[in-house]
Amino acid sequence: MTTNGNSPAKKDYSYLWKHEDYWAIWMGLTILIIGLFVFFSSTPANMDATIAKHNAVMAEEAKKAPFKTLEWYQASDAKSSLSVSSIPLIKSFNAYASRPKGWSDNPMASFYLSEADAKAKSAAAAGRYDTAKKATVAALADAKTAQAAAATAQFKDAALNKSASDKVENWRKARTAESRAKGAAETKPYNLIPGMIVMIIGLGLFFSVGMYVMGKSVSQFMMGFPVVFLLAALSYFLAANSSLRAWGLEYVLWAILLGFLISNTIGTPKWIMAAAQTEYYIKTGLVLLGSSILMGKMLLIGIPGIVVTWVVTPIVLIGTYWFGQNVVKMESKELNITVSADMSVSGVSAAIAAAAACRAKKEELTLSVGISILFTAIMMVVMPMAIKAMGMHPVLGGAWIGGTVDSTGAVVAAGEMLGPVARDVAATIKMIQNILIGVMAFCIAAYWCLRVDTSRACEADLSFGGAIRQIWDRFPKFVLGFIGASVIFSLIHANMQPDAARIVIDNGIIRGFVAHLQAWFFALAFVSIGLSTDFRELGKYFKGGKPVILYVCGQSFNLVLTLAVAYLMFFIVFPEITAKLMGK
Amino acid sequence: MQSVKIPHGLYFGMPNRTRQWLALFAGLLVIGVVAFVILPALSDALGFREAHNLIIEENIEAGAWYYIFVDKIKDIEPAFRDTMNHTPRNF
Repeated sequence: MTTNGNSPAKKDYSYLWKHEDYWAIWMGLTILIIGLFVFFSSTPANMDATIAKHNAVMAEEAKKAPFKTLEWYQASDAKSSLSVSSIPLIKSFNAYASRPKGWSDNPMASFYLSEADAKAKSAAAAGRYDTAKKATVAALADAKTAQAAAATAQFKDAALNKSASDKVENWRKARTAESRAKGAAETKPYNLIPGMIVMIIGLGLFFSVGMYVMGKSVSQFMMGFPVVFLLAALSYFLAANSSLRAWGLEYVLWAILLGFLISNTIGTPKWIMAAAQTEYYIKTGLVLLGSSILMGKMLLIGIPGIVVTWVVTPIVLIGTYWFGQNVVKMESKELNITVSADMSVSGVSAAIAAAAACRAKKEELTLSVGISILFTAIMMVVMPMAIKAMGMHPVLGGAWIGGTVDSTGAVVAAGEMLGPVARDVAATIKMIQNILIGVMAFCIAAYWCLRVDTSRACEADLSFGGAIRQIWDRFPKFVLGFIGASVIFSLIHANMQPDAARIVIDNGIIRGFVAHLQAWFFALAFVSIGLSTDFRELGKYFKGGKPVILYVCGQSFNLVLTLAVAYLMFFIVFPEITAKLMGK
Repeated sequence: MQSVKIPHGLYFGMPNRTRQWLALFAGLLVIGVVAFVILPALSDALGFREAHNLIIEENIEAGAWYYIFVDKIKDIEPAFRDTMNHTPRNF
């Protein structure tokens, strides 16, 4: 991932449009500005008033009863139903940007479902949906009766409160089952092929603009791009298989493997290589990723959450890097920091950001990502088993999983095996840890400029101004776009009412628009990595199994420290927060 | 073209290009066998089946590497925020 940041020479600003770091920023910002414009101009009518009304109901209910009442949940659900992703323009965009759908026995179902098949699926699920609907109605009636009994005793009878709380929880479960059954009973036909053709043309042209201005061959790029895109689609198709998905083997792995297989057997033809623009895709994807690094989320669990993530994680990251340099004696500092970051922060996302910030080689990123995916597949299942066997408290178990399992999806899956409280704590801890990526990338980039990438130090101007210029020259500029997007979106997010911010920013711009493009950009990047990686080169970095030794030692340290600090925070220093999290 | 050299002994003097294509198909076959035969069998052998079935049933994107790609987070985050902001009173 080696690039040279062009420096401005005597007021020549052409570097602003001749270097892919800047193009990543311009393209990322263009997408984000379009998103801001479209979503902010389509907020639901009376959104703030509606949110305030439901929050008032929840506050009132929380004062009234020692458990979450039916009305509390109904107000929460009403807030969740507010959405801006039903804008027609965005709906049609999302239809085009769709990735292959989940499948188990029939591979075609990933791309195409006929009207007749959809009807057959709906009919098969109709009975289950009817049963689920009846179960929800019955559970709601039970909950109402039990809650009324508890209310008659002015919520002072512990047994009646417990019964009402359990009945309300049963109703929630029945409602979730009904919603899942409804999805199956209302299966709609789809055909993703035309949308993918539009995406190939659209994304090809989008990236061509930068290629043209940077002086690269657009015709060669456009010839190879459909093949890179199809390999990306194929990697999504494999990852969408239910049993592979259960192992947590995401498209990243398949994209690298498919590209790798081509490059190391028949060889990647030159006309395809022209479109294997790893850095261009990855940097643009990272600028978009910056928009979802929202600093306000840090406060979701208060101080315990911040300590478990923002104190433990940097200690583990720095400790593992030091261990890699001084004990394991890693040959490459870039590989060391990339493995340390993916193990301590958040797996693939941190590996991408760290590798880009320190300009690691693509083989180093590939190796780090591969190790992370394999260990995550095991930890995701073994950790909940161990937590259950030890009879660990769900909040502690959740915090432990959230702080140690690499990828967010695996964290949610592992938490789900322990129940809703552990799942919610695990997912929230991981989300707070995800936000660390921005600061981490900035610190790694700065450290590399100052202490590691000092090959031109002998030519350096030793004055203060000269030193600043040197740092600026070596600093990967797209990181500024990444951090800038994070700062701008964090400020917008922080200045909105939290529920409104969730509707417009989280579920609107980010999930409803940016995430779709970002997912394709990263798939294109990983296919490109595979297409340009030589197996023999990869083997050199794996010498002596050092990256695996580093991962295992760092992860062991992470497991011990996270567990100790999570126990200290949630049970010794802030037990009231644990009680809150357990409160029904 | 970037390609690795494939040992001659394995291919009984076939033309180089044929060997390369053969290696590609063999690689795809290996991926297919690992993905659709070995991994499901391993899931049973290691005692992971129950956990994997739960992931399939709950439709969790277990490999998703960032929070915005996990559908369940959409519901978890507001529920968590509401729990923290509107905690039921303690008796």
